[in-house]
Amino acid sequence: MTMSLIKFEQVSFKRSDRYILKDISLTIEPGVITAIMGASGSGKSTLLNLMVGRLTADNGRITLLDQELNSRIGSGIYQLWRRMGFLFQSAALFNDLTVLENVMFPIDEHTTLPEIMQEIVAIMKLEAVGLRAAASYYPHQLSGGMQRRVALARAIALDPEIVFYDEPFAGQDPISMGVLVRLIKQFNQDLGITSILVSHDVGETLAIADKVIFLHEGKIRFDGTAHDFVRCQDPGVVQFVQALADGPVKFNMPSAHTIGEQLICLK
Amino acid sequence: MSEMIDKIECLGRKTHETVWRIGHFVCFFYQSLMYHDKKFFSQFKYSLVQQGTHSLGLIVLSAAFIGMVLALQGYVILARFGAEQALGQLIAMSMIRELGPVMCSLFFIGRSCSTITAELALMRITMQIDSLEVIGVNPLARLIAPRLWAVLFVAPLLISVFISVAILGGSLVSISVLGVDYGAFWSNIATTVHFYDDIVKSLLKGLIFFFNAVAVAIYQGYFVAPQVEAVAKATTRTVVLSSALTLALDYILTSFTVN
Repeated sequence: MTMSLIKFEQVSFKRSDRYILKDISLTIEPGVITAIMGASGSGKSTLLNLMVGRLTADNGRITLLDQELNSRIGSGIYQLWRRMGFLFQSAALFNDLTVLENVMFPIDEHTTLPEIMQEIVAIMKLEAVGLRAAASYYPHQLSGGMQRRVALARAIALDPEIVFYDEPFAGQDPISMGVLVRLIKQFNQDLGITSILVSHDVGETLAIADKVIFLHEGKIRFDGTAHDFVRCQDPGVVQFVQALADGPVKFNMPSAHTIGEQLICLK
Repeated sequence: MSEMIDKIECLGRKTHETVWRIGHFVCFFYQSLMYHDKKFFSQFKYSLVQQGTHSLGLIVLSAAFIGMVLALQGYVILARFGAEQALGQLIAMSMIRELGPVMCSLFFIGRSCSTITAELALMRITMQIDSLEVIGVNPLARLIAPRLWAVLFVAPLLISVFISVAILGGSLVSISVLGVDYGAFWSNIATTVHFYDDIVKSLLKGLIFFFNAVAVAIYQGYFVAPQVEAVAKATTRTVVLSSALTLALDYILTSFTVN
């Protein structure tokens, strides 16, 4: 039997009366880089937020690190979050703290290490992302790519079991993107960290992902290896991988009226 | 007929939304007051400075001028009846019973509450609050509880300073400029002001205004919409809503006190 860190069983989530995700079942194995991919609005970020317990499912069962996520978990969720790292799209660093203090923050919160030890650990993490020299800088003095690397150092400060990456490559220049790709792969291989990344950057993501979960209209259309993903003949996957303007995701947003009817209404 | 049903449906939806929001507001602050974490005291000290020290300059300056203007205006009216010597009584009673808590909380809203809203809203929009959560820190315990507890200490102090400075400002103009007798000015105050009926009730009233203002500021900032103009809107809403609530609460509390 395969051990799983995260397990979804028939999970559905809806806003108002509209299903964002419907009947999702999946497992995330330890030590694997899993990419959650799909077009904008396909439910990727919702799936990520359900995985970490920031949203509660309407139906189904979610298990994270052997703990069932449901409305009864309450403040116990904070205990679980201490065992994970999370990299937001916007880095989300604390503006009033220096880079070093940002990385020290989770260590200070969850350990009883003396301050000098906390600094040593934080400097080692900054060294791992190549930004030891920026330790005394404030976040606004860094570029967007550097901020994301600092956020990555903070996410791994406590040597988490899983790291979640929400659109890590969005808005990055090719060099920064390359650095992030390398770091994610390196942390996975060297530290054995399970990585779950939500992204729609096909090239970068498939270069490092072991497994791909592809979402379309709130349902899983593909769940398999990255190798099989690029060869998949599902029209939705083909449109996504080949960046086609029309396909299952229509170029024209569906409308209840024809263009003629709409122009008459305007008149 | 269908238009009528639509209106009733809309009214029902609005009522449901308002009741939900009030319930959410109360639960949010009840939960926040229950939490505290290991950084509580450092955050509490930060909140004392943010709410107290940062407002102090404005409070002192405005109180001095309000007291001085009140002396000038009061003198003109009292002089018509030959009651100039009661100027101290007029200034003290109006400041303690009414102007002190109300004006002080309005200045506090403009200076500190707007800062609280802007700070929390920016933290929300830049996802710093989300960061705290996923690091395993409860934002209610770290950000909200210290601010709520701090206002309970700041409010009586600021109101006391406001009233004292206003009376001192009034006394300066009354005695030095208008020629009111020094002894009459202060003895009139001493005989008419009662500790419980006037001072304690004034501080309690002010405490309610301040707590309400900070609660509105926190709520507006913490639950800000993720939009570009949201911080400006939330800050404006804080000032308008908490000022209006202060004045409405003042009427309600005064009517109870008078009765």
